[in-house]
Amino acid sequence: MSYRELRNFCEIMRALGYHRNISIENFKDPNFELVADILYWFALRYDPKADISDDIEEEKDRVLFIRSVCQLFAAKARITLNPKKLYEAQGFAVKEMLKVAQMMYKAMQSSQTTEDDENAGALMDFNMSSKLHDLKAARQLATEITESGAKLFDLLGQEKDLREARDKALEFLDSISRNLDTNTEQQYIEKCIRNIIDQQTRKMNEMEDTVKQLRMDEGELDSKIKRRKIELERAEKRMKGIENVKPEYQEEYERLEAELERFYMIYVEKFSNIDYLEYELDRYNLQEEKRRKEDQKVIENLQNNQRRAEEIFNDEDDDEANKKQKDKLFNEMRETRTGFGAKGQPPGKNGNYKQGAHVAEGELQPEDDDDEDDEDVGDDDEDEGDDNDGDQVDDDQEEGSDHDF
Amino acid sequence: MRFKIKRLERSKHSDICSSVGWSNSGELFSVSDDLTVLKWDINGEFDSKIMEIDVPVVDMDWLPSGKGANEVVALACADGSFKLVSKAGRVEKSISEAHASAIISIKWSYEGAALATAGEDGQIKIWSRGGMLRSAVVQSSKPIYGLIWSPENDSILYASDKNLTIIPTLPGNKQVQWKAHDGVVLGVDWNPGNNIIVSCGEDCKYRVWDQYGRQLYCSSAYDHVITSIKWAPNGDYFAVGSFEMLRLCDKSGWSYSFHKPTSGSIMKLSWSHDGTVVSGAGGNGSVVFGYIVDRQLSWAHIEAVLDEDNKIQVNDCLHEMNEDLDFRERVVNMSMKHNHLVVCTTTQCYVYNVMNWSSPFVFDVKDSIYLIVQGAKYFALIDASQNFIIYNYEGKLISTPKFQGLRVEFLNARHLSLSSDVLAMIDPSNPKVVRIFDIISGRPSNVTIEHSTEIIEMDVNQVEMSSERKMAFIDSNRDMFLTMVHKPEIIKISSIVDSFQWNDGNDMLACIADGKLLTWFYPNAVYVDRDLMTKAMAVKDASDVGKLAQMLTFNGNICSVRRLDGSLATLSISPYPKILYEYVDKADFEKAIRLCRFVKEQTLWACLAAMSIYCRELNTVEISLAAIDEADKVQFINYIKDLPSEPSRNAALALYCKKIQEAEQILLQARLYYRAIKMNIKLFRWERALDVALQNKSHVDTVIAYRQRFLQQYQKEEDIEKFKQYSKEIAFDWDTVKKKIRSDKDKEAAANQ
Repeated sequence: MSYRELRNFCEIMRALGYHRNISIENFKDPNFELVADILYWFALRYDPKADISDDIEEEKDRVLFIRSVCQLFAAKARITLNPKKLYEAQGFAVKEMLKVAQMMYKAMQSSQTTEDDENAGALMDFNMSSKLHDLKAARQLATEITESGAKLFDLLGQEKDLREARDKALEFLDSISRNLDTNTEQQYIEKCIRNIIDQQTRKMNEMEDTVKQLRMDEGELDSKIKRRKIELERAEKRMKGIENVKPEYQEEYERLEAELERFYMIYVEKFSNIDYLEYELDRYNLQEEKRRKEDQKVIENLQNNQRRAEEIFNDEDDDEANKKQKDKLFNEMRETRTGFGAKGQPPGKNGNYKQGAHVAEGELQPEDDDDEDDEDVGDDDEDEGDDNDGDQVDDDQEEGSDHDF
Repeated sequence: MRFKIKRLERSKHSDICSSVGWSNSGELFSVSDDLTVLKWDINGEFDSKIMEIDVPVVDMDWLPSGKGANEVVALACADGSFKLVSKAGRVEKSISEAHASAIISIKWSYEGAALATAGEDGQIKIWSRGGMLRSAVVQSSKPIYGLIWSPENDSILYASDKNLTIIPTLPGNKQVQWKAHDGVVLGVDWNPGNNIIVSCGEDCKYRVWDQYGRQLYCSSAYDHVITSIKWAPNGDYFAVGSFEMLRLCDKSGWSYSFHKPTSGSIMKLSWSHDGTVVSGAGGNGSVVFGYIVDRQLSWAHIEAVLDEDNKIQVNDCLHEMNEDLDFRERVVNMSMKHNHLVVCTTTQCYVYNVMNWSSPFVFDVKDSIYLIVQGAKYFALIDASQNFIIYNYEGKLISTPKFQGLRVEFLNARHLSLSSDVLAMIDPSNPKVVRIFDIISGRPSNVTIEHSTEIIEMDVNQVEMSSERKMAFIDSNRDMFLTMVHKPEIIKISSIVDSFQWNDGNDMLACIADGKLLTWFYPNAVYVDRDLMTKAMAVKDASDVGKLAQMLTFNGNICSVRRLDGSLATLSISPYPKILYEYVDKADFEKAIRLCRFVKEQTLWACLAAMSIYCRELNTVEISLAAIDEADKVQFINYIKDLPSEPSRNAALALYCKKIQEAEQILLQARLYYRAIKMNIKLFRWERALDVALQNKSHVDTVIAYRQRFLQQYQKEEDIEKFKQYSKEIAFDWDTVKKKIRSDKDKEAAANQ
């Protein structure tokens, strides 16, 4: 160890940005902790994924640590470190560590000089992007390498066969060079070439034949295509002709269709009327039921009153007072009878009632007023009314059809 | 002040640059582990490759320039050898195995006679100029990282482990050692001019020490180990180098500026001889140049700033004027005082009057100037080739003072002082002595001022009158003394003085002592009446400027003070003494008295009293002494006023000033023997009185008579031989004696009428 190395080591470590200040006298005495810390730092700095335990508690751990560090640098950086000296952790260890430090320092310096940038932060960023570019290129290169490797492998596989041919060729060449005076080899070559030429001419003739065949096929196909085309044209013409002809039953069909339409409309109307009338009937029945119940009540009341009156009758002698009471009761009875007597009343009065009800309900089908009047008029005789209705519908149908078409 | 950093983008050295050194002719040489020696010019441009070496060089040092000596550099190598190499790159001498392992530090002594090497093996060896081993001074076990010679070349300061040690090279002297840093000490430097030591170490601090190892300053801890430290030759500032750090620091320790050259650690620093460029050896192989720019000067209402290295901006606050002064070359040095700005570039010197910036006086200089000292009428330039020349402000060469053993490179502004008639200089080889030179002739005058202890700071006042030429100085005990220059009479006036300054325009003297600002309005009073000296002094509390403050200027009634931490403080004193000076200079005592009456200050009255005594203006003296309640002195002045003749009055005044010899001289010259005899009698100088009487053959009986009366009064026996003899020979009679006295007095009165 010398002053200069220690000094340079301190300086390089400062430049590399080691996290503590290294004193020039730190390695005067064995200082394994520091050496280990520096080596660990180097290892991580060189390869952040390096798998090295930083446990230096016991002797075997230390040995293991030194060995793994040495292996790392030997394998990845091709720097051989002397583990014994490192383990001593004295000045000589500095010499070993200086190898690594110098490598890193040179790397740093060269990158600095290429960047030519004062700002360290910007330098880092720039480095990253350029490294990304490098990454792509490196990947491409890697694939190329594998490809060419595979190719190379294949070629080497063929070597077995090729070797024989090559040996033959070499033998032949040797024989040529050996017997320059004899003509046998040349004749052999001529023969070979002639053979090849024959083969080629044969092949050529064959090819010409196939070409002729193909020409003929082509002509045939052309004529076929022409024929088909003509057929197509004819078919198209016929189709047009057929399209232009109009069938005689068409008119009739249309008329019937319209008629059917009309009938359907009428049918719908009728159906809805029937539906309505059924509904009216239901209501009417309902009301009837109600009224009957009320009548029942009134009758019961009357019976009660009568009973009471009889009792009074028995008790009192005053006729007049009785008579008045009786009159009142009778009047009352009459009034109630006129109030709900629907069946027993003359039809005119009944119709009035109906009319009113109809007005109340009739907003749904105001155009059907007349029909309903007819229906109401013929309420007593239902069959007659129905016939009459059917006629009217027919009439309407006749008129409406003219209108529709 | 700051550095302007220059560094080549691509470093010329491919490996770590281990050391740099300026040659005496202003070229920089750098050595590197890539085994080359390169030469650079002063502008930081690469010049040429000098040579290749076979072993890595660790340190280098140029032989200090002497007249006629050829330039030789000593290179210390990593294998323990060293080489002496000429400027052209020729190895003149190679001493192998000088040390067992690497030589870390190598240093020539200041006179160039010896070379000291310190090695990793813990030894310091001293070699002769020719490379012969003289002695091994130190043998220790720990490596020695730095060494430096003492200014006197009689001892070596070295750094080893955490300690600094001063070891004498000659046996008999005591070794001094102290713990300097918490880590290993890596660098040390000792300025011969101001005798201050700086050191740096692995505790990431730099420290400033005095020569006895007392710490003057300690920096805060920085991020990295401080690797190098170096004084500028003028001793006003030093440079500190660390990893990616370069600092410019004042001599008291605080740093002017901080720079980040991208150069790795600065392994070694070297200053150019004019002290304007520092260069550093970068750990990544680069060589860094730092040019001092932004230097600021201020004087009265004018401020001058060196913007770039060839442009000065002048700002006149009073007249609101801005001037830009452009120079063709780099400005090496500049100074502004006494109404003049002196600017030295590499080849020329410009002298500007502050009233006229457009037409300077220009003259050529031979070498780069490293020191400018200004006086009221003249200024002195000291250049790198050790010329010491005095010019006047018209740019005319006046003289070149010389004496045996003058080493001008040790001089700094505090060692030199110029006035309008003399130049005073602390002798660099013997700091107890101040040498005085006549400016016009350049020859040493016949007086030298010698003191019992080392003088560290000295200054001469700037008044016109050479009879009032006074010098103040501080010795190493921090006591301040005052003396007349032409008639040395050293009087101690204060102690624990940090710094002092004479006023630019008049005779006032101010100092900072023990946290107080002391101002003597009329230091001349010490030769007139010492009582008045203390009365004519103002004391002002200045504890806020702290310890070891340096007074920079004392102009008008303003003192500017540089505190220890580098900040500037301004202290003001009363403005009236200055006005008083103006009146007294015009001999306008009426106005002076009116001013004092208006101000009503004891100090001012005392000041006026002393001034008027000096000018023999007795009426004013009487009034001013009365104002400060000095009844006895007033009485004496009245007595003087009643004296019949001019010589006797002068003699009485001299007596007042306690200058007995002078008084007697005056009386004897005027043939006033009786008065001379009477004066001696009054002072009980009987023998002298008798001698005078005998010499002039008059009043012998008078002396005898008075002696007899004295003996009778005190009932003593005669014990003086002479009187025994003469009292037998001469009889006396009081009547005749009295008659004689009367007649003498009448004669004197008659002569003056």
